[in-house]
Amino acid sequence: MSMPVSIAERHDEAGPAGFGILVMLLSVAIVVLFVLSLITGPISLPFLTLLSGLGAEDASLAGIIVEQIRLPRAILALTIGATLGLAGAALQGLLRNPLAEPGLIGVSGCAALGAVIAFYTGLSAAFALALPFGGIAGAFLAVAAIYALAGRESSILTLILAGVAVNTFAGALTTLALNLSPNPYAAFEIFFWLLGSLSDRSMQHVALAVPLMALGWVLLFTTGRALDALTLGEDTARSLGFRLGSVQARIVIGTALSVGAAVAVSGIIGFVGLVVPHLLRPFVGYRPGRLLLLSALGGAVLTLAADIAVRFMLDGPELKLGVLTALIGAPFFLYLVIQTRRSMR
Amino acid sequence: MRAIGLQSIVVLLIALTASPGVHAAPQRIASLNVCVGQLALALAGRARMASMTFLATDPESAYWHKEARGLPVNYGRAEEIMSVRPDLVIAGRYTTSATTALLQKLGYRVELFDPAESLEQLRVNIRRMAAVVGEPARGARLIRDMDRRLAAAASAATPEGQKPVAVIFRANGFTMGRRSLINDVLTLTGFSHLSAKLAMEQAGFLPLEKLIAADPALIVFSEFKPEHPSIAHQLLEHPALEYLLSSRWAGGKRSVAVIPASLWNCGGPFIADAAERLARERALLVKAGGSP
Repeated sequence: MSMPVSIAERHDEAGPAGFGILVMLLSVAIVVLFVLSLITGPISLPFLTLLSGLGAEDASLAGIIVEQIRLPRAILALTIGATLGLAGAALQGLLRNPLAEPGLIGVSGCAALGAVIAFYTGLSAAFALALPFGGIAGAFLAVAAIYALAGRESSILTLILAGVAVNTFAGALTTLALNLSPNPYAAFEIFFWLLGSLSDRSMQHVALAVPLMALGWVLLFTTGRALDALTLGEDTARSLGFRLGSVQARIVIGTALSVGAAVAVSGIIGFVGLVVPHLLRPFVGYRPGRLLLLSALGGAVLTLAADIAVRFMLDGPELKLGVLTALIGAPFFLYLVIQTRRSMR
Repeated sequence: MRAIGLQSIVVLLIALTASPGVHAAPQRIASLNVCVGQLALALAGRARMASMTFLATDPESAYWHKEARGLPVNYGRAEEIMSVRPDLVIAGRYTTSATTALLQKLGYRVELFDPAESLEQLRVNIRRMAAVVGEPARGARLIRDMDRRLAAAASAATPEGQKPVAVIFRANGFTMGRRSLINDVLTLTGFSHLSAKLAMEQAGFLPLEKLIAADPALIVFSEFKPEHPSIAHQLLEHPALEYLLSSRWAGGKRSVAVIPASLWNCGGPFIADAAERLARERALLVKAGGSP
């Protein structure tokens, strides 16, 4: 297995040392932001109270706030951000398309549809795992549909149009499902599903989603070397001993598992999987294998930071997390589209 | 108050020119608002109600929803009101302003009521509705009975001693402010309403963290587990609330009460029901706490 790595190293700009430093920097940023996420919120608690509250025997009020409200939120921001960054990098590697992103190609949208059906029909009330399973089923159908519609080596335009079609369809069905719910609040919850939020999520959501996301990560991380080899073309990759079918299956299932479980508890948080791999790609010499780890870390950093920011941006109800990532991501997307058009001319 | 007086004179003048029989007690009353509709129903009786808002039969919105069943229904549109040829249209001051303005222009007698944001405003509303429908004696009796029950609830709650903090927590974390009937009733029955502690005038959203930090002894839900799920209601089952309820406040155990919003969302004499329930909760909380 050392062959593809050594071949790919020809266009490696940052050496192994640079890569290591970057991993360390991002990890430090995650730790700092995680702690920041625990100590900021609508109620300001003195830092020492927070420390004494964590793990204390008696359920002091500060302890309840930190352990039951802020901790699950921080864990979800970290893991969901990592999922989105990682899935974005993996899809871009597999489809060899810089605009592949779970949100843009409709994977998140279909995951939301699956979760909405599981939740509002009361299925997840009877069987809690139905919520992430619904999300995963939706995500799986979307990746499969995109693959069938656009396929490998498709043009950027085909991929994006297929994504628009899948997204529109999923959005319409999600709206329909919410409007059909007899609960009067359901119709307003379209905002949660389409614009994502981690506000007031609980440890139950962590328990439901994180193990399934982790399973997806394992599958995605195993494809790193194969993705490196794929940059040299399918034939070369095959000749180096990588089975394409297996790589495809692992990325499709890994994306479905991780993104499906993530969206089922957070709603759609867009653009993280687009922005993060693009910002980090130059640092790894365009080696998709290494980009996987960096993008997972970077996604966690971006999502943690954005989730802290939304707590302070509005006076009153919180800004939805997906609104903020879209405000950052959409101009970035436009920039990428312009760049791509230039390079295609 | 002067503005209201002036407005009713204008309304009266328009009505006088439109229909000569306005001085007689109205016999065909159309209501555009679930709250004023219930007062009119109680004071004028079913036979005189020509049209009720569709919410009047909704058990979650209207306390007297059974009494309103079978009456003609409107969805707040002027055409629906005109088709029942009312001699009086009653509505809230703010909720259907375009429709009521149009009906006024067309010469109907329209009476607008302020939302009952305090017990005092509720008494004013009942008295005025009684006058408008020509039943002042009934109105006085309704207020007398309500005040007697409120006073009994207040004394049963033994409001001396410590004042446990109570908070209203509805779907999506919606809570009530100082300007609300339920605030008056909580204060009357010996609670310290969280809105007073947070200086919240109006109703609004209460972050879960703020609720917990306020150390409430009583959490009042208006509905707990609806038949159909929503994220809004899921918040009411957040584990943080369970942890809060399993911990103690200064006076002892914490408690939860479910008091349907139909009792206190609209101003009506049924607010006494809410007061009686809260007085019982207060007595239990303080008794269970024993000597702190």
